[in-house]
Formats: sequence, structure tokens, C-alpha cells
Amino acid sequence: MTRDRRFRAIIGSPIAPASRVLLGVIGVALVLAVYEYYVHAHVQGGGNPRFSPGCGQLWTAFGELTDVDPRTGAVPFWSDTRVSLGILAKGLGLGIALSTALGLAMGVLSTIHAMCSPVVTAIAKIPPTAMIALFMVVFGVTGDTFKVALIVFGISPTLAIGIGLVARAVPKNTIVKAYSLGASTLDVVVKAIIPQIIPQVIEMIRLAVGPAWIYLIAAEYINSSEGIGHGIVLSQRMVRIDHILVYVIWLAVLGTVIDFGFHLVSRLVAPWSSTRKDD
Amino acid sequence: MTKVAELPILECRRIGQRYRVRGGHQVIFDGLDVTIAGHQFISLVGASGCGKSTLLRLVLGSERPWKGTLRSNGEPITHPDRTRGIVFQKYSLFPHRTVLENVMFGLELSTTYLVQKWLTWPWYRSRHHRRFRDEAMAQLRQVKLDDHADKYPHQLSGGMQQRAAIAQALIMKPRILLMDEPFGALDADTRESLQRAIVRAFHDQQTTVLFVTHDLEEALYVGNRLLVLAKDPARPAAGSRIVIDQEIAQSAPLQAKETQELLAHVRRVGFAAPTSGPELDAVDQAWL
Repeated sequence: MTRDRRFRAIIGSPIAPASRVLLGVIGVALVLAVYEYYVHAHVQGGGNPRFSPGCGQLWTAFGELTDVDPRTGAVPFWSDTRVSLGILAKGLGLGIALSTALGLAMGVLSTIHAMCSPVVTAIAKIPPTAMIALFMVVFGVTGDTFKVALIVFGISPTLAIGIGLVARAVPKNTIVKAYSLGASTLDVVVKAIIPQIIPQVIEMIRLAVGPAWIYLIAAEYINSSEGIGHGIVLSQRMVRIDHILVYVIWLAVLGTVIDFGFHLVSRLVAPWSSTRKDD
Repeated sequence: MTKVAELPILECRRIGQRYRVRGGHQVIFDGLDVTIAGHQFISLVGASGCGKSTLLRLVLGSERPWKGTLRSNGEPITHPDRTRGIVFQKYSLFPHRTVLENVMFGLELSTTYLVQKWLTWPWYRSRHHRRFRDEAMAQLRQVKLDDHADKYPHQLSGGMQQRAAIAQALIMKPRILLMDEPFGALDADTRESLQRAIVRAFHDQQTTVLFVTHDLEEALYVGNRLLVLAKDPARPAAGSRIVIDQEIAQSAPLQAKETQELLAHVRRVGFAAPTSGPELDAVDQAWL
């Protein structure tokens, strides 16, 4: 008797798009089911439903949070989101600009690399949250500047080192080749090095968004009157676990959307790289 | 007949190169003389480690010599420029450009000044782009790659990548085309068809070629001048010398008696195993 081998799991075997979507949905459903079961068990065991809101309760909480505040006429949930995303965008934008410039300079010019690499490496080793106290003094306790500064400080050194490494890893042959086709040094950087490393740079930026969120929420915990971090602190003070969970889920959704956005940008900017498997 | 002597395409005078190794320097060669003038297809061959790729890098200008001078049309060679094309074994193509864009790369660089190009971008594009495109397509047709013009390099086989790299270099009409073991990573059939293609391009486009290979049969097939670089078996630490420099019949059948005799001769002179001596041991240890 031969065993039916159709269902053998083979590592690296492809999967149909439909199955992939279905399995993704099943994954989400599974997490929700496990959570619902936990809530059920907790409440059955005499636990306070306040501390274990079910999915229905979370939906209600979402409704509460997105209600219009009668005093201001605004929805705090959305305005918090807008404020947080604004600071995140500023921090990311500034950090990316700074680290791309520095990283490229370090990757292309050996002198800059020799001069900056030790300093930047050392700065990258400072836990950014240790700088909160200093930044609050330097940039002011109120306002967003210290939060932006924290994000920039947190992501730039690592990003710059990474971009530098990637730029240095461009095969020397392609650089020599560009020169042999009549390129100037500027041409080599702009037309041979930068376009080649763009997908990897976008990937590193994508990974830097995670830490950027950490520093933003940490800064908002410490001091703010608006923002998602502030919303979570308020909910904590009122012991609204359901509100905290809604914020947390919202953070997950925002993070996923941003992540997907970077994938799209990468595909748009470097269509050649998405079909590439290896060197 | 008195005629003003044309400056040689390449003139290497008493050039030497050495690399730093642990405990001193490894001399690759010292005092080589090579002159290339006119429409020649030079096969530079030698056992691995004899310095043929080093010589090629010096000619290209991506490396500076330890001693001696290199000139191309009388101008000293200081860095790679568009008068000397290069095809490497790998990574000759830009991964972010399609085959056509790769071939157009040099043309796009050569015509305009940066400011003018940026100021008049749409106009510039419509005017020049079409001409570059036609020129590049013609070049691609020559290497039989016009059907794959819009593919990215990673979508091509190794042989097609090398064809594209050859087209990319040839379109600039370099004084000399340098090739560093260009077919070394290809299978036998692909290699043969590319050897025929490069010989055809040599005749069609009047390009001088310096072709580096460690495959002696390949060297004899493609070249019409043979340069053999080898170490002196008695004094390996002194570096390599040119042991054979002679004109040969291009595309001669391998089975022919003359070819076989030449093959045997080159094997004897250029690929002899070095006799071990104290000097060699010192070098070997230095390399470790």
C-alpha cells in the first residue's frame, strides 16, 4: 500500500493566492477566538468583566472613543491619531533625510566613513529613551519638538550605518563599469549606486518605523496633552482596559497600513527588485 | 613610405605591480612591456595567479601600477574612462535597468551637460531618447538580444547577461575592449556561441580587444595575437614575465596540426609547474 503523498509538507513549496488570503483570515479569527475564550473563562471564574472586555465590548468602546466631544466639537480619538501621525511623520522625515545623507556620504566616501563611523556607532548604542530628560530640557517640556527629536535621535544612527553598509556593498564592478562608460563621480553616485540600493534602503526605513513608534508613544506617555500615547495614559487613569485595547489595536492597524505603504512604494520605485530572487 | 607613427592604443612601459601581504610584498610582475596598436584581438592567457587580471585592471585604470607607465593614445591612464570598455565575469550590468536601458547608459551620460539636461528635460528626452533607443536596439540586434530588450538582467541567463554586457561596452565604441574571463561562468555550449559572437563583433565593429582567460583553447580560438604570462619556475618570487607574444591564426580549427603544436608549446612554456625552492616556499607562506 502506498501512502497518499499529496499532503506532504514540502519546505519552500508555493501556495495559491486564494489559500494565502484564506489562511490569513483564519489566523486573525483564531486569535479572536482564543481571546473570546479567555474572556469567557475569566468572567465565568468570577473575574471582573471590566478587566476582560470581550470583542463586543471593544466595539462599544470604539464607539465611545469616536463620539464627538460636546465641549470641543471634535473627536479626540481622531485628533489624537492625527497628532501622533503628524509627529511620527516629522520625526521619520527628518530622521530619514539626515540618515540618508550621512549614510550615503559614509558609504561613498572613505574619508567620511573613517571619520563618522566610530561616532555614529557609539551614538547608536545610547538607548534613546535615556535622552528624554535631556530633550525635554533642551527642546521644552511642552510642544512636539522633543518628541520629534527623540524619534530622530532614535532611528537616525542605526539607519545611517545601515545605508552606509548597503552603499559600500554595491559590487565594485558596477562602479568601475559606470566609469568606463563615461560617468563622472556624481553620475556614479546618482545613477549607479543610489538606484541600486533604493529597495534595501526602503526596507530599512520600513523596519525603522517600529522603533519610531516606540519613541513616540514613550514621549507621549511622559508628557503630552494630545496623541495616542496620551489617550492610553488617560484610559489607564480611568481604568478603562477596553479603551486601552482599542488604542492598541488601532496602533496595530496603523502600523500594518504604514508597512504595506512602504511595500507599495518599494514596488513603485524599484519594480526591478520585486521579481528578483537572488544575485 | 614615411608616415607619422600613429600613437599606440596601449603602451605599457616597464610596469610592475605588487600587493601587500603578511610579512612584506608579493610581486605580481615587474618590468612588463606591452604595446598594442591597430585592430588586434589579444588573448592574454596564463595559469591562475600569474597576474593577468592585475594587468587588465592596470590597463583599465581601476588600479595604479607600482612601477612604470601606462599610456593610451599617448595619454597617461589614471582612472577608468570611456575610451576603454570592460566586460567582467559578473556584475557588469546595472540590476535596476532593463537590458535596453543598460545599453543606453553610456549614451545618456555622454551627450549633455547636467544643467542643460535638467532644464530641458522633457524636450531633451523626446529628442535624444529615440536616437539612443534606436542605436541601442541596433547594438542589441548584433548580439541577438533584441527580443529581450525590456527584461531586467536577473531575468536573463548567464550567457544573455554577458551578451548584454558586451553590447553595453561596445556601443561606446571604445578604443579597446577589455574582457576579464567573460565566459568563465558559462556552460560549454553558451561559451562557444559567445566566442563566435565576440569574434564577429571584433570584425564588424573594428574594435581592439584584450581578452583575459585561463582557458588556453579559448585563447587560441578567439585571438589573433597571443600573450602568455608566466612565472619563471626557477624564480617565482620575481613575478611573472611575458613568455610568449606572437601572432596566431584566429578561429583556427582546434584539431589542426599547427594548433595542436602551438597548444603543446604554450603548455610547456607557460603552464609548467614551478620547481619548488626556498623562494617559492617563502611566497606560499606569505600568501597564507
